[in-house]
Amino acid sequence: MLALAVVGIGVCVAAPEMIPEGDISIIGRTASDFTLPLMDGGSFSLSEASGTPTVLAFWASWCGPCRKELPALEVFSKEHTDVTVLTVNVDRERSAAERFLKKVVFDLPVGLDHDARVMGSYGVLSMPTTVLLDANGTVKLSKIGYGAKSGFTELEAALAELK
Amino acid sequence: MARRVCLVGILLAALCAAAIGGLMTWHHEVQIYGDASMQGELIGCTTTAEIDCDVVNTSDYSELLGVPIAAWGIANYLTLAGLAGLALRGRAGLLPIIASIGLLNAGYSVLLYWVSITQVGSLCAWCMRLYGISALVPILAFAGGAHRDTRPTIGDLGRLVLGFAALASVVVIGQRQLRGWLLGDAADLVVPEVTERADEAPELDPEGPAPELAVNITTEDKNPAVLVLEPDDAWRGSPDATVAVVEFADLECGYCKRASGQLHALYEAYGDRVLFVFKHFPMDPACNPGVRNRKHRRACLAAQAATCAQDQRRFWAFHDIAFKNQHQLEADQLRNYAGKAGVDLAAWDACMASGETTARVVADGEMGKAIDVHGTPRIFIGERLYRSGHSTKQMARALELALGAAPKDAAVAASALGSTRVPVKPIPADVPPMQAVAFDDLSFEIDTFEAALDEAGAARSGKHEIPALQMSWFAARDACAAAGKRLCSQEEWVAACQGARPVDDDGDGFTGDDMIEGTAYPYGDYHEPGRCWDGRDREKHRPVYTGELPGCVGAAGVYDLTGNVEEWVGTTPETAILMGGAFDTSKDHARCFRSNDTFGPGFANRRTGFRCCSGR
Repeated sequence: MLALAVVGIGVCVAAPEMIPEGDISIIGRTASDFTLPLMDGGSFSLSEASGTPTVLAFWASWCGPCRKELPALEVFSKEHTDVTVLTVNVDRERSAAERFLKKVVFDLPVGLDHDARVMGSYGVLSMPTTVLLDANGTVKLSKIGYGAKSGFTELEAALAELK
Repeated sequence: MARRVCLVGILLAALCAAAIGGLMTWHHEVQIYGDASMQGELIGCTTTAEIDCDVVNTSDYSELLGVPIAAWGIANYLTLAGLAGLALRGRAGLLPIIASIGLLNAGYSVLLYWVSITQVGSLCAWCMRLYGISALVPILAFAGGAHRDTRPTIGDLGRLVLGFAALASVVVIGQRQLRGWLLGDAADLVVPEVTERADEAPELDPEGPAPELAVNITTEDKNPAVLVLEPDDAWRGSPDATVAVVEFADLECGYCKRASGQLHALYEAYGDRVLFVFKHFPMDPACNPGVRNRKHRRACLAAQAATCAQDQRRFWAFHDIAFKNQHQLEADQLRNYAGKAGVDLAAWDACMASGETTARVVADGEMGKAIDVHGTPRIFIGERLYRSGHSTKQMARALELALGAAPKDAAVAASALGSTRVPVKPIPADVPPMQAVAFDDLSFEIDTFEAALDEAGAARSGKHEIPALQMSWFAARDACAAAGKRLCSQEEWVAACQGARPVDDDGDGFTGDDMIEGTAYPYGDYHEPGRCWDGRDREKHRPVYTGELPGCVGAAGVYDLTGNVEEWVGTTPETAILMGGAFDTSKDHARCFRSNDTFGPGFANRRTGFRCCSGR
């Protein structure tokens, strides 16, 4: 019976060997510095924000949840004036971001990461993704998605742990 | 007392399960080898969109070592019942064995459930009941004190194995007797020849109108009706045939696409004796009175395009191209396919502009509505609506029966057709790190496997390597350069994947968004579960080592092009694009024409990798 089960499972599964789990998480890693041009002119350098917790909100023009997240993030920013907030647009074309910003209004700086280098350095999988860095530039949270109900609960909790 | 109650529960549950195993074994054998009069919907398993015992219990996964799984189940559950009976009579040390077998059965049930969902696409109501019993037995065993019972002796285990072997032998002999009785004497049977599917120049449809035929059928809703074939139906095969295979299909329907491959194989084997007819049933009420809701946006246009191609005797050539390129059926693309099918485009344009063929599409829909066609594909083989699993073998058996073959002969002839899948061969021990690919003026070398990184960060290609992850296009470019190679162009990558030279139909500089000239997947036109590492859960799975799936290969001998990790291609940042999908990409997208240009060349995560090319 045992042999049959083993043979049966072996025949049916024969699962390919996955690579070791490894450490693919960016949590705990120190973020490398970057400079991004801003939609309204000027630029943003991560090094300039050191000394305060920083929130990076990655978004794209085709991302539905981003439409709700970004205005909510503005409210969050006003409630946490000691936190630097940068939204990072990752569309390949600037025009796509401009069209989005005509429909979705929020008063936060918009960094333009058209070649996705900054996004790539944080291993972002999908939109929206919110990253929290502590005052030393260490990644404390990388959260995919946004729900109107849950809001920024996880972000608030991670931020509270920094204090 | 609790122990006794639990043991009685196990005994009854196991006997019940053994009876279900018997029913399922009978059903399996009769469905495949039995007479039509014996077949029909299995009692206790009403067919719905999700439930279909016929499909599950006759699928490729319904047998283990040539014996129905249900038959193995009889021996298994009778063994359990015997153990429970002996334990009731006071034999110590048996409850732990019952619990262990119960846990194994429960695990195996989970596996079979997963196979049903992911591989077969239907569930079987009786199987689900067996899964429930499999879950119940270990619960009862532990509730009865399996964890407190005396440990079994080696002698107990030996007797268990012998007992199971004896029971299994009796059951398998019985099952063979049943199959033999159903088959009778099947000697000296002439089986149809199957022609290999090959790249062929588009053929003309047969000349003349479709043979007029009226077939008495029983509809899906169990109503008697007459299926009428019209002179302007698309047809091929034997015009003198008395048996027809009639398909109601929608060129935008995914299941129709898969069925078309199986029907093609059937046509090649039976085209000299059987008439094959295609009737349009687009899932859009705009051109089909048989449907209420619009499910497929381009189905009407595609149907009209096909009828215009039919006017030039190019229906089947167009049909094959349209199904293969089902993911892009816009007007300009349909026109391109018509050109590739060999139609005169000026005449085709005029036909499309006139809309004169729309009435034919509507007429097909009305015919479908009259005979209770509710969805696609619906395939009538002779007088019967074909309801079993969509495999060439099962269809061939139904067709043999329609042609008048005895069940014994039908089953043997059908088994000769077998699977149309390309067999999986082991990766040769001396497989080179790069493969030379050449199509006309396009020649280059491409890594045989997805690239890994050596200690110096240079790309290398080999079997059983950890594919490089978190690779941006920039990092991939540098890793290839460090190895004296370069990133592949999209044209090269697509050529190696589809096994044909790609053509940039729309002249936009990309070839991943154009007509499929070769195969949609490296190994063929239709997705085959388990061939490549795709369709996996992102949270539960990771990429696999290179070359772990020897079946994930095309004619060029290049492995893992689809699935596992997305691969950066493009020779400049502007043309950087990810191809092939990753381990978590769905089966419909993890293919040679999966282009992901959502993000720029800096995009990198645990799904992004690459391979290198050289030459040119």
